[in-house]
Amino acid sequence: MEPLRILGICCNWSPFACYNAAGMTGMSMPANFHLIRVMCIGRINQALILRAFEFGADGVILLECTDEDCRYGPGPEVGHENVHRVRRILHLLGIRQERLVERTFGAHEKEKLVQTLWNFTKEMEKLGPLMAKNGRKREAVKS
Amino acid sequence: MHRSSSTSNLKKAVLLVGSGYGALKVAQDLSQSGLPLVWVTKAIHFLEHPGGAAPFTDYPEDLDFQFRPLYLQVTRHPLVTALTHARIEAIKRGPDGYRAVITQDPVYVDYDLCTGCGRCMDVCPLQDSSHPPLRRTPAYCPSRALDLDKRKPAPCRISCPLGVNVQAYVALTAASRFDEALDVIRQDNPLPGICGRVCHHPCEDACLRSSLDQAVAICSIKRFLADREMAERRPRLPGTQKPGRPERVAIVGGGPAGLTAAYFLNREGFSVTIFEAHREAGGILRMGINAFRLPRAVLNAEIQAIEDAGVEIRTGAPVRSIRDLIDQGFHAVLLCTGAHRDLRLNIPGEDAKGVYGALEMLKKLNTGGKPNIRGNVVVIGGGNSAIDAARSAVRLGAESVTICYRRKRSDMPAHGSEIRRAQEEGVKIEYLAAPVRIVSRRGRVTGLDMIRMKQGAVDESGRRRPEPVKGSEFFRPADTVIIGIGQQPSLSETGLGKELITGQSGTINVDVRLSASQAGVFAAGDAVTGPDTVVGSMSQGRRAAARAVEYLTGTSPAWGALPDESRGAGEHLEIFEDTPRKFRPEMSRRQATARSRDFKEVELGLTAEQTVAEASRCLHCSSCCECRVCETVCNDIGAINHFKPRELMTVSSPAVIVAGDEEIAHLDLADKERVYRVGDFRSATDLVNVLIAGSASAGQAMADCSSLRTNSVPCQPVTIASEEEVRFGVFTCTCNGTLATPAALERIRDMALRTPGVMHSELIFSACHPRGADQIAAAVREHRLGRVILASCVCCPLEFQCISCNDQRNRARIHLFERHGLDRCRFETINIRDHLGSPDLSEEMLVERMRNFLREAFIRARVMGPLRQSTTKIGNRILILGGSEVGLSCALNLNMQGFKVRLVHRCSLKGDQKVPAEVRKRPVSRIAEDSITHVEEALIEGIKGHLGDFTVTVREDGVRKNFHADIVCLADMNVLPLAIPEGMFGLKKFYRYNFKFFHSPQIGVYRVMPRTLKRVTAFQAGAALAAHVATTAAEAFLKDHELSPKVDRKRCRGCGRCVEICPFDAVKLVANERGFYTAEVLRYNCVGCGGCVGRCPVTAMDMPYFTNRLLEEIVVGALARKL
Repeated sequence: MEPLRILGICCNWSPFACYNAAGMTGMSMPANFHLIRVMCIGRINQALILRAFEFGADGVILLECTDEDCRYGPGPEVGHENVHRVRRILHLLGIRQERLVERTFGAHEKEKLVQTLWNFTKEMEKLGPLMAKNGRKREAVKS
Repeated sequence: MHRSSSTSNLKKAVLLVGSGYGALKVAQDLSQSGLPLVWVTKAIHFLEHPGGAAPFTDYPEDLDFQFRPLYLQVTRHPLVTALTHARIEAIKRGPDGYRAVITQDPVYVDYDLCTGCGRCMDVCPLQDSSHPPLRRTPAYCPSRALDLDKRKPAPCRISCPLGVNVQAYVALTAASRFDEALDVIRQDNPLPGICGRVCHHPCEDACLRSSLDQAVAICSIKRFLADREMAERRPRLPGTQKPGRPERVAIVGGGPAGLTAAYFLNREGFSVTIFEAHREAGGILRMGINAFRLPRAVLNAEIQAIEDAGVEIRTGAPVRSIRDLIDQGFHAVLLCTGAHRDLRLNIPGEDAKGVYGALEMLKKLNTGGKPNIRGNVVVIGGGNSAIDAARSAVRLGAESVTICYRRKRSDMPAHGSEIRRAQEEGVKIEYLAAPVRIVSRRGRVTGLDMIRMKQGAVDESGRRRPEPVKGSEFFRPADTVIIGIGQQPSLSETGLGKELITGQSGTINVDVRLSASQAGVFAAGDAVTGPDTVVGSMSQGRRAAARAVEYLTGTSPAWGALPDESRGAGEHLEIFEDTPRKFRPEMSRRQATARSRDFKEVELGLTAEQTVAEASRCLHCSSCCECRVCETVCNDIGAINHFKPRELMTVSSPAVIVAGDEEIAHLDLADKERVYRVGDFRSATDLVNVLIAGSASAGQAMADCSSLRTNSVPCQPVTIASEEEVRFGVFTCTCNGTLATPAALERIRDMALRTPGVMHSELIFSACHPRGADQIAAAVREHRLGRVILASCVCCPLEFQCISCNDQRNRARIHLFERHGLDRCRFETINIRDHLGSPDLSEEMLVERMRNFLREAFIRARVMGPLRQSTTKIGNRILILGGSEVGLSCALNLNMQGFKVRLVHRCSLKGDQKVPAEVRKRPVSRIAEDSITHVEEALIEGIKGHLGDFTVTVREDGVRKNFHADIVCLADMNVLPLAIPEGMFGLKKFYRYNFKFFHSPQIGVYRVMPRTLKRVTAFQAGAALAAHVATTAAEAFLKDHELSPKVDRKRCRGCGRCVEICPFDAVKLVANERGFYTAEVLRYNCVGCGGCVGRCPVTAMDMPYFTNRLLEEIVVGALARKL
């Protein structure tokens, strides 16, 4: 069985500080976990999350700051809304909603972050690989 | 941190003392408003809270982390000189302000160079002790740099006449690093095996451990180290360390002084020849000290080591004339002939047969002869030679041996342990008895006439002078008498006495520089001082050698000076009360009956376990022991300098801001003019209070210091045209070799080079080091690289700092983009430190991960577009609405700072019937009439525009007017509603760590909230507001955010969801000519978070750099990789 692919999207601030600190102290992360970093989770629109599933992610986890901690303001709110809406679309597509998850962190919680990643990986393994995968080919890219 | 380039130059800057949040806010306000600043604290880093107060419990533990980006920005601001480990020595008030002298204690690890790799900690022998000297600053500090705690030198080191670094070799021994410990000793002492047996160890006498239990057995530790090496191989001394010099130096005498001088001169590169009169070298070590104390094997081996290092020793070669030596071609001569003639008692009968001098007898014994010792032996004297002679007499077959000493036991100069060993071997000692006459029959001694002594007055040696007791004469029979009362030099025997001036007791006269009466001739050791300790003579030999080097080359060698107490700062480490008392082991030795039959060594030395245990008793008085092993792993970086001196700086400042009262307690600064206190941190209940108090102090200081202000508009960044053929370069930082094994790193470098499009791939020892950045810049230019991939700890090439950012990452960017001027858009950065740092990665997994990162980096690098940036100019017109106390305070302050202030005293808003009562009743105080524009009363109709270009429409006396301003301040409660712009969808949530107390949702409009006045006084609030205004206005320009999004008009359907979410009021709906609304981003308000982009349901918004296309490519690329 092919190993599962987990995609994480984190913002530059509290979650990345945790990830950074975890990396510096040599904590081990799941091997098939890939992280993308953006300025703020507010930057992520629904299209991108769906793209992830389209191209083979078995699980997507959004790592955000807590509500009061977003230094720009909108991040967690946009994150909640997008996750909520995309989950409903996943349901329509026949994909388990639990494959899309969001979690919040403070800047000092590196143990919690690493634990969360391992837990999520375990849960995805329980669900198994995404059955609704397509051929992972793209059509002509519009510039 | 930043240092002044010259210690004597005067620096004109605002002076800030203290650490903590308040100080950070002050520093931010001052620097961002264009004022140069010198920030002084005695702490190691700037978030140490004054008085040790714990951070506020209202906030979660990550409060200090949240301050990290600010800390980083402020400490690397070009106007800030940040000094840790520093204090104000003295401060005086003069006509142009305060003049302060600041001392910075030596900071041994350079903050600007240290990469935080940690290799020094790995090799430090004290890393596992209870007080490791190398420590990282806490995680929330923005730098991973290390701090070295080194106090003033330990007393053991200072008391050693040779300056051997005792603490270092004891620390290395405790870590079982025996070879390195021996190397440390040999830096200063070439004869460890000898000294480990015969030295009088002043180090142990000075050892501070004795105040707890007993001194550390330093001498025995040294002996163990030497013996251990000797058991495996011949002792190896460092040889010539400098390029060979043509000069030849002659040393007369191969004893301790001569051997030591030869060793150092040889190290310095000279050709050295020792002339030794006897058949074997060693001097007093061979002649005067017996084999049972100093085995011949050890002595010979260490002398051989000096020969192996390159010194020529000619034995059986007595020197009769210095002139001869100079004629033979020697450029300098050192006389180390020692003191070998026994002193005489000068009593009748001394020349009888059977009477010997102690040294005379020992010399005969140690050169293979057999002295005629028999029957009852009496030894006169109490020094080590007398004891040695007595113990030798036992071994040579005497029937009885008695030592007669004219003072008491406690006055005997011999080592206490020597006396005890002698007594164990059967030697008897009689005190307070002195000989008067030696009785002989037929020329052969039969006994001595003795007299009892009593103690009289104290003499110049500090001991009580013995006086004979009348009538107490007695006869002591003896078959042999040995007189051991001291020695003196005997130059007349060698004939050298004719060429030199000698003193009364035959010692050579030398001046302070150890030169004898002829130029180029030096003297050292017992020949100069009379009988001295072994290590004392060695020390003099070394000093004479240093003088000879000065004479021959004109410069003094590094080893010429000993470490003295004035180096280093800080008190010795305290002894903790829970350190258990532990006593020294007693060295094992042979039993008395067995050992008194032969001359084999009596003391048997400590075992390895005993030695390590004993070395672990060391208290590490000076914390860092200066073994300098850390420097060897920091060669490329060069961040460690153990000899860094104190730095002095003089600062002239119109005002002083105090954020930590303890730091100025020793100065008389309280209640002085223009000294602003941030406040008592300990009693502060709320973080926001502290921060506002900080801003208030900053504001007040700004009013005094505006003459120091600088501002400049940055030049536009030049965009480089994209190259036709994209030439890639890949640079991988090894972080001083700690990132991965050399094999893995080379594979990574080669793998990158094989990728199509890559013209150049290189490993850099450190990307955050100036030389590393120089390497990269040089390679970019040389190979004409259009795109660069930098694999290091740097996450992104952008200009701002996020929480994860630290000083090292920032430095790399400063060096590459600001100093070298490389284009940010050309660089793609991958943070491999966090991804590859996990220790359980095998080399295969590491290389595979790197392959994936590189592939993704290439995708991103091809898709990257230019980063746009432009600036908006801001003038200095400030409009203050409301003549309350806050408003007046703010107006006055800004006026003093040089801004153009217009103050409207009584404001009313549209819809108010009239001006509110409490506003109307307020007197209009026309402060600073000639520079502030006063408007008594006006009705405010509306505020339009943006920061730098506000138009405020008012009605004054019924006439409509437009006031133009760059910044608007709302200082009265009744005008607060103006802060909320028209059409705003309610108040947005603010980030709780922003601490923008005076900001309103509209950028450029400031307001004072009622709750602020509960925290500080109105005057302070006004000053704090002025500080905030100044940080915006004084900069005189506003940069657009690099990441502000762009709207695709064709796709936007005007739903307004983006406008709704933006807390910065940076998105507006604008009608086009046909009346359809589309969104537009106001670039100067935008901060680049992308919240609007995420909300857009039709993907009509896109952001530069983090484009939709880029994120898609990353996602697709990440998921497509083969696992």
